[in-house]
Parts: sequence; structure tokens; C-alpha cells
Amino acid sequence: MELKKVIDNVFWAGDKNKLLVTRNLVTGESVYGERLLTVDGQEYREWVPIRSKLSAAFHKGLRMIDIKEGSKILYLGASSGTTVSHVSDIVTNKGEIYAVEISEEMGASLILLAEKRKNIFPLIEDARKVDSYSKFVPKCDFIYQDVAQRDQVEIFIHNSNQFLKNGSYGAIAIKTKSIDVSKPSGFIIEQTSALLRRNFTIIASIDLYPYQRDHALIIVRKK
Amino acid sequence: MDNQDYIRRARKTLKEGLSLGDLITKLVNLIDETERAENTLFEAIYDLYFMYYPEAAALLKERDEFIATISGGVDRVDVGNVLKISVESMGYDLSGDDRSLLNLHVNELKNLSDMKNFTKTYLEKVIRENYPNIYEVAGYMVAARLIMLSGGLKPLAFMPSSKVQILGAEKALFSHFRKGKSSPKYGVIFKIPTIEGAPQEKRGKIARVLASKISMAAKLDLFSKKDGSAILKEKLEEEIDRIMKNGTKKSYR
Repeated sequence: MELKKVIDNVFWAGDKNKLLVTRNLVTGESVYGERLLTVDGQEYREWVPIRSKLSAAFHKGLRMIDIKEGSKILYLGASSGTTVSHVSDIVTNKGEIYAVEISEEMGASLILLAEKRKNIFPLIEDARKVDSYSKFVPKCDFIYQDVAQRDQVEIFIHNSNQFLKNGSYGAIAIKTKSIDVSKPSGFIIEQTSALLRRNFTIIASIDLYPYQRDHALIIVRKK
Repeated sequence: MDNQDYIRRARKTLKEGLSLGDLITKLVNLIDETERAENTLFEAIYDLYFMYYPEAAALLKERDEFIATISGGVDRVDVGNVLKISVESMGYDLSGDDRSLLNLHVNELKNLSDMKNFTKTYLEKVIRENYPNIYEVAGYMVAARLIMLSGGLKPLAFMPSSKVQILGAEKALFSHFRKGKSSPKYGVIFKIPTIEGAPQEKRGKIARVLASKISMAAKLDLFSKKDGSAILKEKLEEEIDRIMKNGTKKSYR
């Protein structure tokens, strides 16, 4: 099988390049029931677009994202660690992922994941209360946010001001229905982008349909 | 760098984040879900039984009565004798195998029902031991639901009693705010027999009084752990008496 590199440790596999995979950091372990495949003795994990918004973004044409081997990443809304596990594959053991999650039930799976993957630093905290975890998180190269809250843009800006290096990139997964159910998706994305423009340059805005309904991934760069 | 310290800290946060309130929430969910399963199963079994012996099924429309009567044996002879009705039936004659299958299902339903009652008894014990005051004023099921909805004893104790009164009626409350419908008079506390049994026009008032006493009970449980429920109940009865005596709305203006 041919592998075509997208970014560090992420590849398109298969004939039609329809299968996105990451190089498995922990050989033999499947995190959420995804398929494992071996190419030339190296194991890869399928990155399922309906489970992960970042994967959906790659399927919808995202070419570049500033996550590479050795990156320090702040991940807000880590949930049970589906996407986190793939980001952990990307940054490898040279990098660090600070994974913030508020829910205790999701957090338990995240902790179990972190015990297997040494580059995940779990923080069971409220992303709104930056001060409660600020001393545990260094300046980061990238912020990824997927929290599906009404005030998610404020949360993102707050965290970026505190932790993101100037000129670095971030990605914010917007769930338009969490911000306002009554308004159309496009309008919400416009509105959010306008809010973000004060502090960031908007690099790309990707609608994740059909992999995720009413979701968009906005990639920004801190001014 | 090692993530061990982070894992240790996160584990600690999780452990400290969980409390008796969470246990109660899970127990209430368990009871509700068992009840739901019981109802679903009952419907299917009832339909099957109706086909076999409609004369008896027509008399056993209540779930618990149905379970109690036919768990001793599903045959027409057994049930007919218990209910003192004719064994001659217009229903479909089930074979011996059919009936033993039906028997298995009925036993399963009975187990489910026993399980639910067992869980309820256990929940009652938990509530009585930990929140004696709320238990006395509201009863264990309502107490448990209040703890569940408010997120624990502490939030409940610090909540204004007007909010305690309508906990569980959030949908009605928001349609009151948004659409100007009339405000809800009670939430889960409606299940307290004093309210449920009261005449329609008094229920709101009784709910208000009860909620205020539940608030006090919660504060007692949180801060003193003493059983002061006797005084609370006495005052409660006094106030309810007053409400019941005052006839019309006008006397309150």
C-alpha cells in the first residue's frame, strides 16, 4: 500500500487516498475501535472522520496545519481522547499535549489514555477558569479547541492570550448549534470569524459537512 | 518530561469530584431505568397473556397486580381460581411449551420488579442515614431527585427555596419566561403526597410552604447533622392547616 505524507506522521493510505492514517505511537493498541494496519512493518491507525473533527477537516481539503513532531499543544475539550490520541501520534514523545477536559466521566478515559501515552498531560479543569491550571501549562505552539459551548470563542481567546506564542497557530472547532440554534450555520461562522479577527488572522474556515453536521473548523494565527 | 504528576493530580481531582450526591444520582437513574424496562416488558407480556386468557387479563390491567397474580402460575386453572372466574376462555389455547415460555418471561418480569423495589429500599436507607431532615419532610424519592437535580446537598442548601419549589420543571419555567405562559407551581416536589393529594387550587401554596421547609431541612442536614425534623414538620402542618382553612384566593390578598 502506498502512503502519501500530509504532515508529520499523518498519511493518506489506500488507492484512492480516502483513508487517513497516523503512525501508531503505541504499537498494537487501538484507542476507540479504529482499524490498525501495517505497512512495511510500521503500524498505522485509521483516523476516522466521523469521530474526529480534525480528521474531517483533512478529508475536506485541509493541506497544512502547524502541528509537527515535538510541538507543544494545548488541547481544550479533550473529551475521552479520540482526537487527542491521533495528535499524540503526530507530536510523538518529543512533543507534549496539555489536554483540558471538564467532565469527570470523559476525564477518566482520558487519564487511562495518558497512562499509555506519555506525551498526554491530562488536566481535569474548566477551560473557562484559566487561572486554575495556568501554572501547569507552558507557552504552546498550537491551541486546538473543541468544546461546543455557547461562549467557546471567548474561552479560546482567553486561553490563547495566556498560553499561545505570538505568531503561532490555533484551530477552533465551532459547533454552530451550540452557539445559537435559531440562526443558520453560515451566519454563526461569519459572526465567530468577526470576533476572532480582533486577535487573530484567519487562515482557513472549513465546513465539516458531511462528516460532522453544523460544524466548522477555523484555523487562525495569533497576531 | 514525564506526565506522571499530571496523571496523579487528575486522578485526585476525579476522586474528590465524586460524592454521595453522585451515588444518589446513579441510584435514581437505575430505579427509573428499571421501571422503564419493567413497563416495556409488561406491555409485551400482557399482550401475549391477553391472547391466551382475555377474561383474566381484562381484570389485571395494573402492572403490579398482574405480576403478583400470574407469577404463581400462568395456567387458566391457577389464575381462574385466584380471580374466581370461569376457566372456560374465548382466548387462544396455548400449548404446554408456550405456557412454560410465558412462565419464564413472567418470572423475569417479577425479578425486575423485585430488583427495583430492592433498589428503592436501599436508596431510602441511604437518604435516611445521610439526610434525615430532608427525608422526614420530603420522603426519600423526592429528596433523592432534589439532590440529583441540584447537584448535591450543598448546592441544594444554598438554593433559594423558590428554586427548590420548581426544580424539575425547567421546561415550564423557561416557557414562562420566553412565551409568557403561567409559571410552574411545582417541580419534582409534586410527588410529595401532601401536594399530590391537595385540591388543585391549594397545591401551589402548599408547594411553596413545603419548599421552604425542604430548604431549611437541607441546611440542617448540611450544617448540624441533627434531626430537627420534628419541629419542621410541626410548623409545616400548621401552615398547611392554615392554607386549607383559608377558602378562596381573596383571603390572601
